[in-house]
Amino acid sequence: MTETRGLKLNAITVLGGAIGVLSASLPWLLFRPNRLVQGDALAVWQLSGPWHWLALVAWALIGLSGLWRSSLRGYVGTALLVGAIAAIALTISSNAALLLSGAGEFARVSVSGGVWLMLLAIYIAAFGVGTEMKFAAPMVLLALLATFVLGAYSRLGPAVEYAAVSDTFFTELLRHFALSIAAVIVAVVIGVPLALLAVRNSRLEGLVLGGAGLLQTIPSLALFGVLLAPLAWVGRSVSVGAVLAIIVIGALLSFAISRLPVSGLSGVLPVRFALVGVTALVALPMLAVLIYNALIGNLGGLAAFVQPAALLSSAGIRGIGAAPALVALTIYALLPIVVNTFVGMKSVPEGVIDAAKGMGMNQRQVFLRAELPIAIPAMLTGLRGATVLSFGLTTVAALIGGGGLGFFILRGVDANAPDLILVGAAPIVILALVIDALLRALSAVVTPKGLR
Amino acid sequence: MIEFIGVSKSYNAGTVILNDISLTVERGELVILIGPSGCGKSTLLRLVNRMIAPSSGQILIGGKDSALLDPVELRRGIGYVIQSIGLFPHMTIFENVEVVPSILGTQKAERRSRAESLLHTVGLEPGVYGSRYPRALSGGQQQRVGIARALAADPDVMLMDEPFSAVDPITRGGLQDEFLRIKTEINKTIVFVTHDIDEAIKIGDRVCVLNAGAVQQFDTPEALLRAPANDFVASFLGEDRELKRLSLMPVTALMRIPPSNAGEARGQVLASSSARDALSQLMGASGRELNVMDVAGNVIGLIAMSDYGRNP
Repeated sequence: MTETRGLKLNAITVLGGAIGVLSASLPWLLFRPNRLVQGDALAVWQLSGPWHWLALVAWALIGLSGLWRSSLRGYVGTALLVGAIAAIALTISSNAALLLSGAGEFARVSVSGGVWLMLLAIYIAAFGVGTEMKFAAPMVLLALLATFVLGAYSRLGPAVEYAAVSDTFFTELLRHFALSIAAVIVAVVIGVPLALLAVRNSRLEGLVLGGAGLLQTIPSLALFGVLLAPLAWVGRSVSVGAVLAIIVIGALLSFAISRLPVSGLSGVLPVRFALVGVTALVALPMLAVLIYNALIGNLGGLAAFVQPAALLSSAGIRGIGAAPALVALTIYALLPIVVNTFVGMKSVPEGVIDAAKGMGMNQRQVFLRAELPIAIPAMLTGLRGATVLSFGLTTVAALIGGGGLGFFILRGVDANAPDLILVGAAPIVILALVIDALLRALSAVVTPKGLR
Repeated sequence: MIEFIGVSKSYNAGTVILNDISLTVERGELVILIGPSGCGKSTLLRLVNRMIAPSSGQILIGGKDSALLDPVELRRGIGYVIQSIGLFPHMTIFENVEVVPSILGTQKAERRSRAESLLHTVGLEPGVYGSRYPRALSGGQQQRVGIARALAADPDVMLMDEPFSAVDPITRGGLQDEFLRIKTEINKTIVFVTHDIDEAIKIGDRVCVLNAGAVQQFDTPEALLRAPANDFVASFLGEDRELKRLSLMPVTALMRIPPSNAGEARGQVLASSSARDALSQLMGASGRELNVMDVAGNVIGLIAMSDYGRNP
């Protein structure tokens, strides 16, 4: 009797199979003789070779296996699914080869709606079969991976475009990564203290939160336009030594004022804020460019920072390129960091702070032992938001010669080559998802057990 | 010993919170600060550990002017228990209790054994609760931890700001009984703020009634109930203040030594009962006399309604 227990119809598998069969109603491949023409969509019956028919038969059988009341159906379903994946891969591979033979250098074959629908069908069917056979999902993933590794898709448009740019792909990927990360680091350096200031001083609350929100609304292109002239001028006329001098003098003055016996006077605080502000304004773009150069391993750019006589332009601060991109990205990354730090600090119960002070913690201990552990999950949420946002936004850096994966997207748009756009866009999405998952994991580790 | 000498507190706008307060809390004494909302009782308490600075006047702690001490150092020597409890949610119960000793650099093993004995003192089994997080405890249990935490560095002085106000009445009664027991064990100078007059009478050695930033009366609960200094104190104590006073009085203070007819079948009341509880029982017995019994079951006296007329 155990044979039939629970063996009702497996609706998920049936659905997966049905969607697989339905994919025949959409074209599977797209053939374009060159980049300028619209291209021909190829329906299933226009394809050659037996593989596409076998794939459809496999889908039909997968759907039927969901109706079959036997404990074997999990294994049969998995085998059919792996078979379907192989048949689809062979269909794509053999038809792409056939279409491209003698079609010239600019001819491209892409997958079309039917294949995307089958991808959905694979996902659903794997889930359905997976309820009956433990290793279904890993085996399906393995099969998909195998078709990639074996080069079934190497003649498709994105693969061809990637092959053409493969020598610069990893350089741009690294730049993209370095621009985003450097911007987020500087945004943390600015945003966290600003948010803490806003938490301590309710008069600054509106200014800081409103300011960060306002900055977010500036269109990136307008920001580049605004930054172009001043950054170009600074790069041409100011030396590294001058900037270092301003930073050192600013820091020393600020420190000296904090030690003055008159620090209780109300006039001193704004002066100190202004001093710190001006110093930060000079120091932070330098820091951003420094981190960026360090991340991409640009030793020449780094070396300029230890030559006081060198102009800032030799350190990478120019009207176009990485510097304006970094400034813009930092500004956009500010909002999630400021808001989440603020919210995290505000979520610390009043009683906890009162008790912490009352039992004799000094200001630093109250912050480190009581406030920070409670605020850190929210702060990490902000960091995660800022990072994912930055990864997407860094795309625009390519507009001003900052490089990054946006470079391929721009070129793809210019050349009317959607496959090239995909070469730039897909890694951004994947990278953003990976970073998001990593920071989620970090957040889970750092969140104190009592707060989970 | 805590001495307030001519202490005033006012804010810029001219609002006077405390007006020229002078009072002394003796060593080992539990003084209650009580009064309506806004009377300045919490402010007076928070002046002691300098969470608030006085506008004028001096506060001496153990003879030393608190204004001359480092506030952080001062607070480490003063236990602090507040209404919102303020346990650190990210720390276990052990870690919460050990916060001050860990700041002071006490060895881990010593800290832990102290925390264990303190949790015992406040009636929480350390093996069961020590490794839990605050959110897994009830409000009453959390405040027990709050008291243990305040005692961890063995301070001479404890400040308690409405510690039992946020828990339900039944838990509150239990906590008060428990606290009275702990109080005799720890022998601290305690300043305790409450707005609950029954709580004040039950646990205070002396009660300081405040109104509008000034001391109205500062005396033992018994004296307060017997002779309120003014109309405000009288109305604050309530129309039933004679009944409240009876609750402070043992029934043995009113009973008559039994005449010859002792042992006659009557209702009984234990010698440890308060005069108020005995009155309640008398009313239940339709006013007939009751035997007052000692723990061994001997009749040691008689009590009747008429005995309540002779008010000592």
